[in-house]
Amino acid sequence: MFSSILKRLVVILFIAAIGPAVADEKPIELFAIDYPPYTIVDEQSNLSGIDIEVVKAAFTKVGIEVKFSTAPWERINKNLEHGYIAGYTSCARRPAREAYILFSDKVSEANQVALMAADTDDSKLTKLADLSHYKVNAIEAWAMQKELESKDIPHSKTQNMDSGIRSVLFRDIDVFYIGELTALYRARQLGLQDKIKTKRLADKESVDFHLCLSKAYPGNTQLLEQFNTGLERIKASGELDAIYANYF
Amino acid sequence: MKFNFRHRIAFKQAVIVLTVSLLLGLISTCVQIYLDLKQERSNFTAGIEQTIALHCDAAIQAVYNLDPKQAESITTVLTTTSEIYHARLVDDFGDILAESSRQKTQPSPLAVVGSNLFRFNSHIETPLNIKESKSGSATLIIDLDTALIAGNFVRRTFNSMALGLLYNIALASIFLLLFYRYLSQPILNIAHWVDQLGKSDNVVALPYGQRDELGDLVSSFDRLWHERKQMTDQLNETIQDLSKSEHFSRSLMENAGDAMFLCQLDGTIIQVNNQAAESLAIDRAELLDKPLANFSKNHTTSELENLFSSIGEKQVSTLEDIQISTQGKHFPIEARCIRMHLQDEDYILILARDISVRKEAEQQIFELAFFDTLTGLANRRLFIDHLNSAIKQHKESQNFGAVLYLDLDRFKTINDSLGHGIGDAILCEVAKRLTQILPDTSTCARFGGDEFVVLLTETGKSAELCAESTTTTALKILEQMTIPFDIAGHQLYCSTSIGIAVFPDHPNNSLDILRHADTALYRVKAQGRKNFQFFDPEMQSTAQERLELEKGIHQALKNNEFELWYQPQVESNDQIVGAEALLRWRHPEKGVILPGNFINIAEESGQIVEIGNWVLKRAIAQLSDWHKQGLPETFKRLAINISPLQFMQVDFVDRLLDMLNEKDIPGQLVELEITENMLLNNFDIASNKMKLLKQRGISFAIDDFGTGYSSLRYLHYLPLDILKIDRSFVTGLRPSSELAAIVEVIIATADRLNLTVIGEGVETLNERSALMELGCHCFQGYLFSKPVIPEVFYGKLLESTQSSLI
Repeated sequence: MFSSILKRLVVILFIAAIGPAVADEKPIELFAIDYPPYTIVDEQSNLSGIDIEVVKAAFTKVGIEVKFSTAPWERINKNLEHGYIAGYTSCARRPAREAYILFSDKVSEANQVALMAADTDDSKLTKLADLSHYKVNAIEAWAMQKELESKDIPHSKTQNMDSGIRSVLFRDIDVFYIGELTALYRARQLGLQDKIKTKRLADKESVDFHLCLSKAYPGNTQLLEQFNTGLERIKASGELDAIYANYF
Repeated sequence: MKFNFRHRIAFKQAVIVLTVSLLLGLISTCVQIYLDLKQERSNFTAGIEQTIALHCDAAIQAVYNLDPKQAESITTVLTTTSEIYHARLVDDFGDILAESSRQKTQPSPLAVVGSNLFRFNSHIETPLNIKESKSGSATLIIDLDTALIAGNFVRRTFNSMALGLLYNIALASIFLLLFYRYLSQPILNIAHWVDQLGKSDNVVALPYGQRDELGDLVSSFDRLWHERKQMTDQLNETIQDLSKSEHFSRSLMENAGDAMFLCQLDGTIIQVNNQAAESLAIDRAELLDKPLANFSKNHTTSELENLFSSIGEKQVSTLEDIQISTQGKHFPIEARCIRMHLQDEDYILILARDISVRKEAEQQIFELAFFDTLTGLANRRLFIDHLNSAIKQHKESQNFGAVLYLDLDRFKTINDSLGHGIGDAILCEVAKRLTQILPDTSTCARFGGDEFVVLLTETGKSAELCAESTTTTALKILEQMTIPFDIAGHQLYCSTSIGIAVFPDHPNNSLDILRHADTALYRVKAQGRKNFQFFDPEMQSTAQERLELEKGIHQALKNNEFELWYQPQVESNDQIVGAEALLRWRHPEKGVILPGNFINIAEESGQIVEIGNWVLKRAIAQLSDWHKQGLPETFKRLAINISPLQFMQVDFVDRLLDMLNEKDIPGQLVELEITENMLLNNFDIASNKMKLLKQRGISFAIDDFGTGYSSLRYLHYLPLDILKIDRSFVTGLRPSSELAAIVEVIIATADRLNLTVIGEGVETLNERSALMELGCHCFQGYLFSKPVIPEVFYGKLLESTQSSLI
């Protein structure tokens, strides 16, 4: 009897404490850059994309309203470092970032794949080193290009995603080494999704993307927990999958 | 003509132009530099701002993107700008995004100067607003190469100044050439031409033919030169003529025997001839501008000025004067003064002739005519001339004079026995002695032989005084002649006899007077020489009598021949209230002499003081005796007569008071009788003395009131007590007579002034009663008593206390 009265009292106190705060606070501003399909920034700086929707859904699930803005990556990163902004989505976990970033549970993941024309024979392609047998290119200065370089896999450099996709269809390039979802999303936009295929490499693990919250930003520890809670709920509820379905 | 370029007008003009243009150039350059500086600073700042503005957007973009490469490209581009040596882009997080720099220019000395002038902010920080920045603004920092910028500015300024200097020098040089060509050179030519005109008689060609200012100057000068030359030639001819004429005149003037002075009307000498300088023993130059009166004995400057002003045009005025040379020599001149009109001014030409020789001759003639050549005394002619003048003068002044005719006793004997030389010497010595003892106003003459005549003027107001004075002089002469003459080793005795005639006596002339004197002289000689004799026998006796009296007074004082008698003064009740001490001279031969016979002589000879003192002493001694014997209360005072001369003696008051003290006599018993005349002549002194004595109780009576001026002034102002009505008013006084009216006024006045009135000389009862009727109640006179000896008076006094005198 007593315990049921106590539980009710706790609920009432919680609502009293949280309710007004939630209702009065401004939406939490998070940052993203154009990294389709995870985060997409159109010409009017409207943000969309899988991760955007996931993050929004997760926060909504715990009753927190967020909004998204964009800025150059370096600026966002430096603001995070200084604690000027609350967070960014989405970023991979790196040792250097541990010092100033709180990483959430995985929001999405990226797989480095070999994108080829649909008719390309990929039977010999199973590991990264196999790329040496193919004419490969990568977007200059991107992480994949640097990886190839570091592993001495011969490759050419392309300037952007579109030329990379087109190079495997209309040029003598066999493999465009690129993020899977990104490439597929762009190919769909170009109407080339049926002419290409992707193949994951056995020795390449996927890279997880997280909501990155600045350690220096006040209240972020609690926020992180709330987000993780929301994220777990939407995964459980199937909302996450529904979001993915909208993009592919 | 020495050519000195520095003295040329062109050079001076060019120097002025150069100086002025340099000065103005310097000022304008300074202003220009200042304005340039402002403009340059403005331009420079604008340029830098523009450069920064150009890169601002890119820099904002680079910062927004935090793009180091883009940022570096911007800073690199900025440092390629010559003025910027360092650029830095700092992001809005405060981190250096990019930084570029190059070597800064080393500052040169000019740049150091320039940097002081050209001050600007070399470190510019431009804030960059980064959109949506959470951390503030970014900054673009640039540093300017100051040495380079200042050096550039100074170089430009220096170039500007150097160009300005070159410009000014070039301008001045051009002016120098132009001035020299168009001004100096023609003027030099003109100067040379003018120089030639003066040296040469020939016609010299005109040096400048242009129709400009110099041309006008040359032609005008040329015309003027020829006109003046013509006039000068004429003038020279005239001057030559004048010079000849002037030389002629000057020769005449310089060789003239007379001194010539050309003076202004005020007597200032402006020209003289040689003779003038010689006669005054002074250089001609020193004479000029001096007043002529400086050398004149008889005329002052103002007198000469008046004289010169009175001389008419072409009129000659002659005067005589005595000139004094600078060496003090006096010489007579006869001056002819002529008024001349020269060069619009009036002058006086004085022709002065030395007339010393003529004057000496005149003097000699005068002396021969009027003086005795042996003794230098006046001769008969001059003496008679003087005598005539004196007679005329004395008739007018009513004064008396006398002529003394002297004759040396025994002179003929001396002359005959010792020769004329000795005789002449005696005559000269006599003349010398006479002139020594005779007054200056007298005239002493020698009529020839041993006859000397003396004229004495102004010897007295009356014949008696004249006789006395003349007697004194005669006695002096006689005494002087008793001194022996010491001549040529001879001691000679030569007495003189003197005959005296007094004038104006009767209507007589000079010859009569001389004759009378001569007659008197003969009388002396007849009576035994060595004496003097008046022509008038009466005067002779008067003179002798006075002489004897004078001697007698001296003896009388010595031998105690004076006595004091006392005449009572009585009141209406006949009581004796006082007495007047009256002097009597008991002469051993002549008996008792009354004061009227000798007081005048004593006053004139001054013996009155001695007599007065004796009277005073005697009267007080007598009073003392009576005082000791006992004086009745009715006796009030003893009146003592005081002569004016005695009263005015400095020690009179002290002497009197000493006497009173010595005898212990109260002053109230003493009354001093004084006369009106004494008061009139010495009012202040008399008044002071009277007041002093009055303090001692001594009373004062005015004697003989009514006979003198009877001034009412002293009656009021002096401490008088008694007024004595003179006997002339009393004698025969009857009531209601004219005399009675006068006496009544006197008595009324005395009453008004609180004075006691005493009637003098009362001899009859009628007179007494008349006086009483008129208000006088005190009397003195024979009616009551004659003056009596002291013993008798004392008896009367004692008697009067019991009964009346009458």
